[in-house]
Amino acid sequence: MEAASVLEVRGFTKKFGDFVAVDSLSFKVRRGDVYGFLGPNGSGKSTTIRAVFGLVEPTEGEVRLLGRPAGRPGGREGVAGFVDAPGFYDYLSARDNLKVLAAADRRKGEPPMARVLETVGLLGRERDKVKTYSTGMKQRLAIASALIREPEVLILDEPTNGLDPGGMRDVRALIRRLNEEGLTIFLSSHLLAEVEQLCNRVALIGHGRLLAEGTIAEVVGGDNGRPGYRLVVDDAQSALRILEGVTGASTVDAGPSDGLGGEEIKLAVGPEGPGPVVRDLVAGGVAVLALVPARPSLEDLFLELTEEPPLTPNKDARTRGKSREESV
Amino acid sequence: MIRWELYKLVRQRRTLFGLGATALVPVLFVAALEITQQGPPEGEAPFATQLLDNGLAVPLVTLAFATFVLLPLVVAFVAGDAVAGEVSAGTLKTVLSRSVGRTELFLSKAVAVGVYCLAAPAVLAGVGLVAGYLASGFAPLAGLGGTPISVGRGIALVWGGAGLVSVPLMALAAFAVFLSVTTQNSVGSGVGAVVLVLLLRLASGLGLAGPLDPYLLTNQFEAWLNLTRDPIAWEPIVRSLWVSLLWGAFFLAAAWVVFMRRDVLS
Repeated sequence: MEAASVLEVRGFTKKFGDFVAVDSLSFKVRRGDVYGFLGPNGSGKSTTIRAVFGLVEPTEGEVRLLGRPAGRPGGREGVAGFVDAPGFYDYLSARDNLKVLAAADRRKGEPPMARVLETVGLLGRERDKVKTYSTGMKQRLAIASALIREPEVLILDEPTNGLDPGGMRDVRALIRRLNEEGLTIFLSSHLLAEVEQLCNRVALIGHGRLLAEGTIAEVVGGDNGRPGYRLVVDDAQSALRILEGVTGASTVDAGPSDGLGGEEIKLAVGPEGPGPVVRDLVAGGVAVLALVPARPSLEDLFLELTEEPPLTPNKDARTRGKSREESV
Repeated sequence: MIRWELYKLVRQRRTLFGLGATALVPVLFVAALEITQQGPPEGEAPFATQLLDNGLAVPLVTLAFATFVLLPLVVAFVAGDAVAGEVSAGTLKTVLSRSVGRTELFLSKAVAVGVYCLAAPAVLAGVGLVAGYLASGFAPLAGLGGTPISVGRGIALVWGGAGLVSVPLMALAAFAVFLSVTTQNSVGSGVGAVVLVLLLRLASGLGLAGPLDPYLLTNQFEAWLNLTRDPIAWEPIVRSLWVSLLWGAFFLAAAWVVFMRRDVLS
C-alpha cells in the first residue's frame, strides 16, 4: 500500500438494477491534496461519495480510506464530511445535533465545540433550533459537524451550495486554511472556478466514468504547452497577414470580438512571448485593442468532455470558450 | 447512542403528541362519567359497573379500552417513524457517516422504541389512577372471578397490567420498525402497523384463524386481565409473553437484516 494515499477508489462500480451509476472508477487522493471531484449532475459523484462513507455497497471494486476498506467497521476513522444536502434534526439545537454526532463518533471527552462553532461563524447561534437556520447556516453547520470529528481527511460535497457570495468566499478561505493546517480535502463541486481556485488535483467524471484525472495543469493543458492569447484588433485581415511573418506565432481562428469592438483572433506565440507580435502589428499600422492571456479553463474542458447532444440544433449558440476571467 | 436516541424521541412532537393523547383518555373518560353519571352498560367492559363509585376501576377500564385502538396507534406511529423519519430528513446518512455501526444504531433505536412502548401504557395507568382517585376515591374492587381485590392489590394490578400490555405493543412496534426500514415511509409504516392490528382483529372476530387464533398478536393484548382473577390465571399470561416475543423477535430481526444491507440513498 502506498502510504501517501489517503483515499483510494479502485475499480468502483455501482449498479442499481440495470442502471450503471458508476462504472469502474479509479483515482487516488494523496495526503495534503485539495482534490476536486467534478462532474455534471447525475454523473455518479454522490454515489461515489456515498460509497466513501460506506452508505452504499460497491457492486464491484472497493473504496479505501487511510488504507482501510471504507464500508467496514472502523473504516471511517479519521475521515469526516457529508454527502448531498446535509441532514440535521431540525427540532434540536445546533449544539444538540453536534452532540448527537459526537456520540455517533464514539468520541471520548468533549468535542471542541466552541472552537469549531467559531471557525464556521455559528458561535452564539448554537442554542437555536436548526429549523430556524438558513440554508447557508446549515451548510456551515455541516462543515462544523465534520470538524468536530477532528479528521485527517475532509470530504465535502458541494460545500458552497446555497451560500451567498460572502459565504462562498468564507468557506473557500476556510478550506484553504484547513488544508494549510494539514487536512486533506476531497471536494465535489460543479463550480469550476471554485475548483480551479482551490484544488491542486482533480478528477472529472461523466456518466459514471472517469474522463480526466491529474493536476489542473495536466488536465486542462494536455500536451499543448504553448501559451494562448486572445488578440483584439481593428483590422483582422491586415493583422493575420502581418502575423504570418512573426516567428513562432500561429493563429487559430478569427471572428468578431464580444464587447470590445474590433475583431478577435485566437493566437499562440513563440518562446519570445507576445512582444514581437504587438511590435509588428503596431508597426504595420494595426491597432491592438486588447491582448489577453487565454488560459484554457477547466470549464472548456468540462464542457468538452461532458457535453450532451444539444437540445436545440443551434449548437454554436452556446458560449463554450468563456475564459476564466469571465466565469463566476 | 441509546441516551441520544431517547433524547431525540422525547424532543419530537410526535412522541409527546402520542403520550398526550394517551394521557387525555382517562381524563376525558372521567369527565364524561361525571357529566353523564352513567357508566357503560354491563358486559361492555370488565369492571364497568364499578366505574361510578370506585376510582380504581378507571385505569383498568381505560387500559382495556386503549388496547383496542389507542395504544397500538400511538406506538405504531412512533415506531414507524424510527428509521423512515431519519431517511426523509437526511439524518440517517449523516449519522451513518460517523463511526457508529449500523447494528449499534439499530439497537439504540429499538431500545428507544421499546421504552416508548413501556411509557405509553404507564402514562395511561398513572393518569387513570390519579383521575379515578380524584373523581371517586379508591375502594376494594370486585374481581373478574367475583373475589374482592384490595386497594393495594388493585393499584399493583393497574401497573402490572400496563407492564403486560407493553409486551405485545413492543411486538407491534417491531413490525412498524420493519415497515419503517423497508418502505422508508414514516406515515405508511404507522398506517401499515395499524392495518395489521385491524386485520388480525377481523380474522379473529370472523374465526378465520382457526386453531392459530390464540397466537394472533392482537389476542395478546387482553392477557393482562387474567391478573385480576383469583387465583391469577398464569397460563394465558405466559402464552401472551412468548407469543409476543416471537412476533417481535421475528420482525425486529427482519428489520435488522434489511437495515444492515440497504444502501442509504437519501
